[in-house]
Formats: sequence, C-alpha cells, structure tokens
Amino acid sequence: MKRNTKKYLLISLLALTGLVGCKKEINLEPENATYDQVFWVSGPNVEKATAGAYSLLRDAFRADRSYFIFGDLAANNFKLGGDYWNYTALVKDQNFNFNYAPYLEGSVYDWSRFYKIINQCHLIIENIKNIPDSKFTGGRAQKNRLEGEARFLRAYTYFYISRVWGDVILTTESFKDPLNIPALPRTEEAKTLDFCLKDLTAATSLLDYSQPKTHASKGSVLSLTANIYAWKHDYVKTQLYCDSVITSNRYQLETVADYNKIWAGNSKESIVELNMLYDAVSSTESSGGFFNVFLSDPFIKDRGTNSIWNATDIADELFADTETRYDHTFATASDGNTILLTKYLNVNYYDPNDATKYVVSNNLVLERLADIYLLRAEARFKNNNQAGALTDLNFVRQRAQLADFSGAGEDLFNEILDERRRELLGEGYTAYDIIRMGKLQYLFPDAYSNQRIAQKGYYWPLNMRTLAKQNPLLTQNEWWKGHF
Amino acid sequence: MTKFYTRRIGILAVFLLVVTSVSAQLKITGVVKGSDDGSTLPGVSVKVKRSSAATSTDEKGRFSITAAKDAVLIFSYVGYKAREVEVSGRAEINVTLTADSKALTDVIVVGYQKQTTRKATGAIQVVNAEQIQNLPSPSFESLLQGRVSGINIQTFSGEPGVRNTFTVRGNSTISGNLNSDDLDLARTMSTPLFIIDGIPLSVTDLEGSSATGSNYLAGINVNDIESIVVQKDAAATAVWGSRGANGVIVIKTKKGATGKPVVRLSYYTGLTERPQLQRTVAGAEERQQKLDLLRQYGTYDQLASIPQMLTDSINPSFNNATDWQDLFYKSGRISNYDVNVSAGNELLNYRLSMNYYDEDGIVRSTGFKRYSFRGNFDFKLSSKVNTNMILAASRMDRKRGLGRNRDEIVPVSAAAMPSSFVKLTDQDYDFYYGQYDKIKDQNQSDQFSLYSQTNVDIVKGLQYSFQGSLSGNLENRDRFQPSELDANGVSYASSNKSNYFSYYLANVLTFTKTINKDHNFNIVGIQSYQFDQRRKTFVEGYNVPTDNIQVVQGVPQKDLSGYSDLGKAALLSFTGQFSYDYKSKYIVNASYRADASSRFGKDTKWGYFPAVSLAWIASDESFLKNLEWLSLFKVRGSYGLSGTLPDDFYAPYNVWDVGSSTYDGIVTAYPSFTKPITQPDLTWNKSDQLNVGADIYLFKNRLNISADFYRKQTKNPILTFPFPSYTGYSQVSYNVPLKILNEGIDLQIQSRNLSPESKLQWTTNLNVSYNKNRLASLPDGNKSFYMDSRGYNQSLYFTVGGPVYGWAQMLYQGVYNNTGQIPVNPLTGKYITYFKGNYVVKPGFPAWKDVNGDYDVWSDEDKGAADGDLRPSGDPNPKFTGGIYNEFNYKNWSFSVLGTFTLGRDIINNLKANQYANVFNFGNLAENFAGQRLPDLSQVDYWTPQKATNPNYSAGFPALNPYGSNFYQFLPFSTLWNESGDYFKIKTITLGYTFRGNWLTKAKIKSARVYGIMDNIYNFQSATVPDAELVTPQGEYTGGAYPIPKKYTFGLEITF
Repeated sequence: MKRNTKKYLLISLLALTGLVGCKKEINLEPENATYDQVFWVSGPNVEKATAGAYSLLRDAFRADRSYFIFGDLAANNFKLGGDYWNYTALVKDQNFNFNYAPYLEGSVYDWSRFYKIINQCHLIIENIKNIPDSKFTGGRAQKNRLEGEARFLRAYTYFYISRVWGDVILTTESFKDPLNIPALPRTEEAKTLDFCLKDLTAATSLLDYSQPKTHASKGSVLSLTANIYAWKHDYVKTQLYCDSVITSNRYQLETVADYNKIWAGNSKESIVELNMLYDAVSSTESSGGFFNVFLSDPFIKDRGTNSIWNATDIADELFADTETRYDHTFATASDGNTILLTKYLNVNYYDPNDATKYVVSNNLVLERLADIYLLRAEARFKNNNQAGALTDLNFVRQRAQLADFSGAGEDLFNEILDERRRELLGEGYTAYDIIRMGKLQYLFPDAYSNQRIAQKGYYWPLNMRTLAKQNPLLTQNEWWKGHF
Repeated sequence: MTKFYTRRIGILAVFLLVVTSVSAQLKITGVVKGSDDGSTLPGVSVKVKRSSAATSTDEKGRFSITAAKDAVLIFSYVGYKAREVEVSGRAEINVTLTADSKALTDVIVVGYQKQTTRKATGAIQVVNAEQIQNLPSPSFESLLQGRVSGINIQTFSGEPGVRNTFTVRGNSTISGNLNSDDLDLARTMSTPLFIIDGIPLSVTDLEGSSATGSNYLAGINVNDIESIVVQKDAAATAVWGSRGANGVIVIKTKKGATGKPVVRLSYYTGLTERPQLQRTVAGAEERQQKLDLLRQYGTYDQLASIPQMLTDSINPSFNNATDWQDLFYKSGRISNYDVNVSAGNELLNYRLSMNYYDEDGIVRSTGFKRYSFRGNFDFKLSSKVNTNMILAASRMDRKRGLGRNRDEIVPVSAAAMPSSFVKLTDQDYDFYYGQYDKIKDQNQSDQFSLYSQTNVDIVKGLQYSFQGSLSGNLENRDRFQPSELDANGVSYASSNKSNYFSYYLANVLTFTKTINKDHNFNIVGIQSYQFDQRRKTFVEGYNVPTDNIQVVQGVPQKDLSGYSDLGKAALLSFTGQFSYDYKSKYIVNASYRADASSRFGKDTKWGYFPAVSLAWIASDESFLKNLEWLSLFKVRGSYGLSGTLPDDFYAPYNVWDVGSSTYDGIVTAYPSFTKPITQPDLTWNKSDQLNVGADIYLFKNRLNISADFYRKQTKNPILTFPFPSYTGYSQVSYNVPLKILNEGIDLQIQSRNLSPESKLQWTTNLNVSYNKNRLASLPDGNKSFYMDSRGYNQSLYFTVGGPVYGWAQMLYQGVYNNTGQIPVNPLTGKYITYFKGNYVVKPGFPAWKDVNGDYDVWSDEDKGAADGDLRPSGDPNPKFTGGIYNEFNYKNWSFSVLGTFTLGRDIINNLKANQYANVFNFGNLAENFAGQRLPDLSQVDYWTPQKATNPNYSAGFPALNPYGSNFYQFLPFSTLWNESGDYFKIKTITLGYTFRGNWLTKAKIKSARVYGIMDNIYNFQSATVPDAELVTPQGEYTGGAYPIPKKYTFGLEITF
C-alpha cells in the first residue's frame, strides 16, 4: 500500500509538471505597440523619431505660447489685452516680476518639456549607429543627415533653455535604469554651451543643404553656432560663422514687398523653421491657439482686442511711419486704434461646417538671414570694425526701405539693437538680444537693478515644488530665492 | 470491494463533496434533545448529507424530513456538537446532541486547501447567504459594509452598477495623476482579488479595457451566493502570490440538492427615493440674498448698475424660481425576480437559477438592469471520479445619463448651477429632457463563465483534481447623438466594444494522512496557469449622413476615427500548501507559491511567496478544559509575503507612442511618456504582513470575540510616479522605492444576548476596524513631495509618517475684523499680503496663517522653499470603520437593524467652496454673480463694513463682497471647508415574517416568508454635506457625485 502511494504520487507529480506551462507562454511581447528593442531597426523609423523630436519642440514652444512670453513679452514688445490678467506681473508695468504667473507655472517655470526633446535626440544619436546604412532609403547620406538633425536639435534645445532659465542640468546620454537615476545639480553654462558646440561641429560634417527648411541643414547649424558664440561673447567666432552662412549663398533677403513670405513657409530668407502649416489630414501641424495671440478682427472674425497682445506702443516707439516695412509688419484692428502685428497672417477657416474653427497657417521661423546679418554687424562692432558693422546694419535697413544709418560708437551699437528689435519683433528673439547685448538697464532701468543683473534676475524662476520633487540637488535661480 | 470503497469515500466526502448513492425515499420523524439538561431543542438544523434537503425542529424539538433509507442525517445547532446519524431504514430517529462549543466545522477554502474554521490559522471571516440575501443592491460588495471587520467599503457613488472602493486592511495604492480625464476613482484605492467559484478574477484587470464602465461583480446575482469568505492576512493571501496582497474574497455560489426538485421563487419590489440635496434658495429669497450682498458692499456708483436680472423682478424671463436640481433627480422603482430549481439523484444534482434585477436611477436616464442565469451541476462519474460544472451567464444594461463622468452625473455642473431666476423655455426643457430621449446610449455588458472541476481518488488519502475555467466579459457601448442636439448641427455616432477572456487551468494533488490518530497531515501541490486576453475596438464619426442612421456608417473620411487594441497576459504558478496539527490543538500551516508573470521584467519573471501560520487552541489544554464558561480560546499568528501585479499587461516594455501627431507630414514617434524605460527588473508590489489574533468564545458560544492585530508593509509598489524630469520623463510607472505601512486592529464580537430558552432571541454582531495608513519611507532620502488633488484644490502632501492622499493646505484662522488685527511686517511697515504681494490684506479678508513668516501667504510655494505656507491639514483615510448588526427573532417574526460607521476621517465640502466662489463677478456682475446659484446665506455671519463698525465684532465668515478682490479665497486650498467625515449610518432595517402551519403543507409549500426592507435610512453626522459617506476616496464632496438613494422594498419568497 505504502509503496503504491509513493508510486502514484511520483507519477502524478510528473504528469503535473508536464501538463501545461511553457517558458514561451509567460514571455508575451506587446502586439499593440512598438518598443525600444524592436524600434531601432530601420531608417523610416528613425525618420519618425526625428519627426517626433521636431513635433515635441513645436509643442514645447506652443505651450502657453511660452515662445513669445520668453522672447517678446519679457522684452516689453507687446501690451496685454484684458484676457491676459494672469500675465500682468510678467511685463514692464510690474517690473518683469516673473515670479507671479498664475496658470502658467507649467510652462514658464518648468523645463521638463524640453528634456523630452533632448532625450529623444539622445536616443536617436545612440541608436542610429547600430542600424546598417542599407536600412535607410537614402543610404549613408540620409543616415548622416538624420544624426545631424538630432545633434542640431539637441544643441538648439540646450541653448534655448540656457537662455531662458540660466544654468541647466546637462545630460549627455539617455537614462536606462529607472531605479538608478542619479540626482544631478545644475551645470554651469559654459559646459553646456561647449557640449552644444561639440554637437554642432559634428553636425556640420553630417549635414548638407539638401534638407527642406522645416528640417535642420548645414546652414542652420552654422547660424546656431554663430548665435552660441555671440551668447558667449566670442565675437571673433561669431563673425566667422556668420560669414560662412552668408557666403554659402543659400539664403537671400526677401524684398520688402514679399516680406510676409518669410513666415509663409520655405522662403528664400528662412534658414530653419518649424512647420505649422495647415494640413487637412493631420490636425497637429497647425494651431489656432498660437499665432492668433497677435490677431483680432478683421483678421480673425469677432476676435476682440482684449484677447490679443497688441503692438500699439512698440510700433509707435520704434518704427518710423515712413518705413515700408511698417505696412508689412502692422495693421490696424477693427476698433480703429489698436495696432496688430501681422507677420503671421494666414488665417485658414478650414471647416466648412463650422465657421468658428480656424488655424493660423504660418511657420515659426527659428533662424533667418536678417538675424545673421545683424548678428554679424554686432560682431564686427565688437571686433572693432564699425564700418563693416554699418554695412551689415544698413543692408537690413535697406530692405526695410529705411535710410542708411551713419552713427558710430555706442549710438551704432544701440541702433543695431533697435534694428534687431524692429526686424525681429514678434519672433521670440528680443529678450535674449537685450540680455546678450547688455542693455537691460538701458531699456528698463526700473526693473533691472544692479543686484538683479548680478544675480541674473533676467532668467526665469524654476518651479521647485514640481522639479525638486525627485532631484534634491536642484537649486533655484539666485535672484528668485528671496524675491516675490 | 464495494463496501471498502464506500467507506473510503465516506472518509473523503467531507473534502470532496462527492455525490453518493441515493435510493428509495423515506419520511423520517423524531425529536432532538440536548445532553446537558435533557430538554428538547427548538430550531435545530436537520440536513440530509450531500443533499440540500433540510428542515429544522419546531418549538418542541420535533422534526420531519424525507430522505433515502441509507441517507445520513446531520443535526447541528449552535453550541452543540453536530451529529451525523445513519438512517438505516428507520422512520423514527430521536437524537441527543452533546453540548460542545468547539464544534467549528464550517469548511472554508484557503487557497486550494480546505480547512475547518476551527483549524484555520488566518484572519478569516465568513458571511453567509442569509445575511445578505434579498437586500436591494445590484452587487454583493456593498452589502459587506459593516458586516466584516478589516475592510473598508465607502460608497462614493450611488450609481447602480458601478464599483465603489473596497479596501482590505487599508489602502496600499497611490494614483499618480488624479486629474486624468477618464480616471475611475475606485481605482485610486487598492482592491482585493476575487475568487468566484474557484476562478481568480482581478476586477482591476477587467476594468482596464472596459467599454461600459460597469462593475463586473454586479453581474453576479446576490441571491445565488452561498457564502463570502473574506481572507485578510498572509496565511490566506500568500497562497495567491502575486495577486493576493490586497486581500482575497472567496465567493461560493449555491449548489444543487439531492432529492425531488425544489422550486424557490423570490420577488421584491420597492422604491428608490429622490435624494435630499443641498438646500438652495430660489426666487424672491435668492433675489433678496443677492441684493443684500450688493447693498452691503457696493458704493453709490456701483449700486447704480445692478444687473437687470436682479432688479427686474417682474420680467418673466427673470422672475422664476427654477429648482435646477429638480430637473435631474427623481424617484424610481426597484424590482428583483428570482427563480431557482434544484434537484438531484445518485448520479447528478443540479441547481438552476434565473434572475432579473431592475433598478431605476434617481438621476434621470440612469439605471441598471441585470438578467442572469446560473447552473451548478455535480456528476458522479464513478465511485472514484466526480466532476462538477458551473455555467453562468448574465447581461447588464446600464444607462449612464448625460453626465460627463462619475463626478459630474448631470449635464449642469453642480457648483455652477444657473440662478433660479432663469426661465426655462420649452426649448430648454426639450434640451434637458429631450436630450435624454433622443440620444441613444446603449451600454451593455455580457458575461459568461464555465468552470469545471474533476476529482479523482487515486488511492486512500490521495486525490487528484483538475480545474479548468473560461470566463468572458463582452462589453458594448453604442452611442448616437442627432444633429439637432448639437450647437453646430453635427451628428455623432460611436461604437465601443471590448472583450475580456480569461482561461484558467489548475492541477491539484491533495494528500491527507493521519498518523497515530493525533498527527494530521494535509499536503496540497498545485500547478496552475492563467491566460488573459483583452481586445477593444472603438470607432466614432461625426456628420453621420442622416439622423436615421444611428451607427457609424457613411461618415466622411475626415470625420472618422477609430482604433483597436489587444493585450495578453499570462501567469504560471506552482504552489504548495502544507498543514499539520497535533490533536487539532497545535496547528501549523505553511504555503509557498512561485509565480511567473508575463507582466514582470525578463530578469525577474519569478516571484516567490512564502507564508507560515500557527494556531494554538489553548482551551483544549487540560488546565483550561474544565472551565465551563470558556468555550474556545485560540491564539493565532501568521507571517508571509504576497504581491500585486501591475495593471499594465506590458509593464516592463517601454512602449512607444507612434502616430499621435505628424511633423511636416511625417508620422511622429517618441517613447510613451509614462513608461519610457525598458525595465528588465520590474517585479511585483512587495507586501509582507504580520498578523496576531485570538478567538475567544465564552458562555457556550454566547459571546464570541475575535481580535486581530496586523502590520502590512507594501514595498516598491508599481506606481506612475514623478520622475526626475531631466530624464525626459516627468512620470514613470516603475517599482517606486517607497514603503506604505498599514497597521491596525480588527475586532469582531458576536453575542446572543438572551438565554437559548428564551422565545425572543437577540443577537448582536459588532465589527470594528482600526487602520492607520502611513508612508514609512519615500525615495530620495525620504524627501516629501506634493501632488495635485483632483480639481487642483488642496495639495496632496506625501511625507514620511503622513498618510497616502493626505492634504496640505493654508491654515484658515478666521476673519480679520478690523485693521488693527492685520499683521504688519516690522521691516517694511507694510500690511501682510496674499498671493505674492498681489493682495494687501484688508478687513473682511480670511485670516490665513503666515507659516513661513515672510508676511505673504500663498498656496503656491515661496520659490525658495517648497512648503511655503502649506501645512499638513487633513487625512481622508478613516481611522475606524465598521458596523453593528442587531437581529431579533420572536416566533415567526424577525427584525434586524444594521448600522455602519466611519470615524476619524477628514473631508472637504468642495461644493460649498465653489458655490461661494460664485460671489465674484470677474468683471461680469450680470453673468456670474446674478446668473449663478449661491448657497443659502441666511445662517452665515459674513463680514460686512456695517457690522465691523462695532469694534467688538467678530465675524463668523469672511466678507462676501461681489465688488471686492477675488483671489480665489473661497477655494479649498485653505482649511476653511474642512469638516469631520465621521458618520454613523442606519443602513438597513429588515422586518420579516415566516409563515408556518399546516396550510403550507396542504398547498405543497415548503416555506414562505414575507419581508420589508429599508435601506440607507439615516445618517448621524456633523458634516454639512448631504451624506458624509458620499465623498471621494480622497475626501472631497464635489456635489456632482451620484447620491446614494434610500430604498424601500417589500418582498416574498416561497419554496415549493
């Protein structure tokens, strides 16, 4: 009996273990999504990832229209309509008190969305080398271009956030182990910019001029390099890179008659731009809620001037009525006295069923030739070549059909600044130009005390409650520690 | 040979529920007496073994039952040892029962092992069918409220057919984003594993792809349930390994009986009552109240332009007293029909049941219907082999109304209901009522399950059993909205289908052995495999060509969108259970489980879950045995590990988000921002639990006390959690290195308050659960952090020692009555400010505490220090929950009352907060102030300049100045609206009458009973919310939740 029991027990146990359950059955892979291990196998996938990086950058800029908050509102370029009560502390009347921005905390105090782009670029750069050239429709050349674009975007993003928040947290590769993410302190600016320049050097040899304007090209890399050197106040290098952009002969200023073509997509003057043109198939390309901040009725039906940022004061203060550029930059709203910025004017009522739905179908130009000429004027001035500076300045003024400027010394430098303010108004540049050219106190003496300049109070504060949650080493920008 | 086997089966029968032979029937009568004083015993249960035939003795201890000649009768009575008597052809059997308190022979299933309650070592509580049957509820879980200790069920939505929270021994889940659009609040708390007739079911998995949002458990007819066993500690939950950490609820449905067919009919019907809502003022009263506010605060100039809506009281557009709540709430009807048949013979027994349940919602166009069928079959295939089969199918039809989600069940926001002046035109009524009629919204869930178990007796003491099941849940939601109901004339149709299939197989080998009479061994080895698959198809389109087409057909390409989804998960497990006892006095149980889940990372496929538990029945020791008053004294202890699986089937994979947008015409791809990193080490939520308990039964079981102390640690839970954003991801689902601790006491006291001889019987059942929920450690060196509450009102503050979902708010300290009370910054000489210096404090402002001493108070941080002026201020997790149940039986009458309670909980009245916020006009006095509903202010002593002229005035409430500064001062980021969430609720009262007498027999009726039930009767509470139970798991009353209806039902049941 006992022996029988044992025998049965043994047989049963064997049967039991053999019945069901294979290794295979517990290793189930997603069938409803792609993932790292299977994604990085082909050129078209890398193209999708690159498109992802661009679209993340586009989203990041559109978030609360922060692109224009940082670049233009902080430079007093626009006056706020009544709907923007929560922006009022940010502008000149409240001495640019960046520390009170109800409902905007998620965008203006938080750089997280830019790290999505940086990480995406890390992933592309790390993985693309393991994909054979033959897997790219354009072979080796296309593979290089895609890597070059990722390097450009990474450098562009780091440079952008450095100009908004000051020292950033520099990550040079993607994180792989979720349980061991090191706490990281902020990196000094010079190190970050060096990293950007290294990327750009690599990108120069990877890219050519064959890309459409909505993607990075060799020209955009050179322009960005010039801009970074200017930010570092290395004007010799700035001039050098401006030269190479200009002498490449790939770009020309549009005539003033065609001024608005600059933002209509693929202009002669544009070096690189983010695509935001209306696409009937995809609703994510264009937006009704971004450029419309500058437009009221008659351009957007029934949109009142309370809902916009107007250019009434700046048009009056900076522009001469005589310049032809004025007519292409501004228009009067239906109320008869509010001046509107009209660079982004292609309002598209795309839905025949709904007369209230529209998008503003313009591209966001990130770099263009006029900027490079003015940047070279600035560099030449700093490199003691005032004559050269005047030539470049007047080249841009001539297009605007403004009389040539002939001043010298600080007057000339201030005029370069003012010309930048005019030419690039509403394009997200001015605030950084003023910082770089050291003119904050000159323009806004009430807001910018010596102490505020010394403590870099022109950078934006960080949302410590959100960002410091998982990073005990994060520190607040000096000026904002004690001020509200 | 036959005899040999019969005897062997007899031994095994207790465990195997084998059907044995039944031959000719015989009517047996007799008298049952007690051995202690020899008196006859009324109410003794007499059952035929392995059959459902049963009766009980009358007042004189007499019984009469029909059974086979060779049947075995089981006599059982509380306080006496059950006795089995072989009929052996006798027509009269007189029995004497021995008084024995220790007769705890109820068999419960722990994991795959059957244990008697006496020998059970874990913290387990059984709820029997009688306690919950016929109670008017779509599903059984809410009926456990107050009846079981250690669990917390809070009905935060009274909507029929949706799931509410059900936590066992405290919450161990943190929901990473409470503001996501489709959040189901029931999922923000941990949920136990349900084992329904042997099939393990994760309701959270099932909900993961749900198209209907209906509660899966509502597909089970409450009256089909035989017993519910709540298993709380590791002794029972570790056997379920990677799924057991949040408790295990084992549901057994009723089985067939042996003998002639028995038909039972049961019917009840009644009313669901329109709820008591927040009091509002309407018409002239509202106008007066608003004008008062304007007059008290307005300047001469301001008063010159009072909105027409307020002044023009004879204008028919504005002279109404519309009660907006009236539009949406109503009374309804509730009915339940049950029919079941059971019968059996020596080869087969069965029970078939059919049910129709119909509950009208108390919100227009909501409601719940269920049609269900269940068949339980037992077959005897040979003397060694028996098999059973359970078939169940049900359909749930749940109307969802026009609300946007479970927080907002009516189409008008509860907080921003329009003023009563507004005239509702016929079109308006059409809009509000018509929408209900013309919108199509079919929301249906179909469930089926097949379960079969075959037992084979291999040799004596060794049994093999094979279990297999297939269960499916098919859900459809089809919607259509005609063009006339859309402002832009765009029609809409959608179809949402989801299905969930779960396959389950188990091989179980059980070995039982007794050595030298005293050493009892039981060993169970199990191998099991479960495979779950969910699919979903969703398609929607705008501009459906005509309103006659009410599906997605003929929709222009550009208005059409859709997707499908597929997910699979598998779980392979090996389990061993071992139990040993010496003389049923010293008991050891141990179990070990290994789970390999497809949801774990590739390097951590296997999880291992040991548990050990001990019990000592001290009252069996010689030194206690003679104590007359001590019926049972048992001490128990257990320790073990269990886990929780990730909700996400593909949790370890960093899936990519492809095609959510395009750039320059190219489809984009980037890592999904919630699970972006491949996690080869992803593993279960680790929980370990220590339990120490005792059962003390006194005075011949007239007073039974069970108490358990526990400490449950949940480590490294898989949560969607804030992540260092420089990685590119701000939230990631991973094993977050934190620890949640739940410690508490479960206490259960049962007493029979009157002597067994008394004609009036009174039993009391008290359940009390104490739980302390806290965070024991946090990532990054225990760094505290904040999260947004739902609706971004108060902040949620996570700190070591604090609870999950605890709040941080600014501290409201009353009102600044006059300038003298306002603090002045000695450095600047300026008054204290609010909101980063933007509002200089004036008399009438709420006084908020300046915690960080910077002479500015704001809910957002001072940018230098994260905490700013916030302080931990409330805990929505209740400290004590439980219930008290009293039952009285007198002759044919029975009467019972159930009260439930929750104590030590903080809640916030968000509705009130939002209504007060309507005072402010945002530059638009007419629309916001005049046009929206205000709360009743008649009892509110709000600050006014007039009252403040008295230097001794102390305001009860800040200024309600429609012209004043609006800095959201009435939103609940301050403690102004915090209230005590304590309540005691008279939950259920039942009055029943059982018919007895000869006429029943003549009418061939076995038994008949009528009863009336009142449900959700009255709340004792201090909170101003309508029902202190009806708040979210995070403690907020938003006013938009579905009220808990009062139900009044009357029913009868007859057995033929």
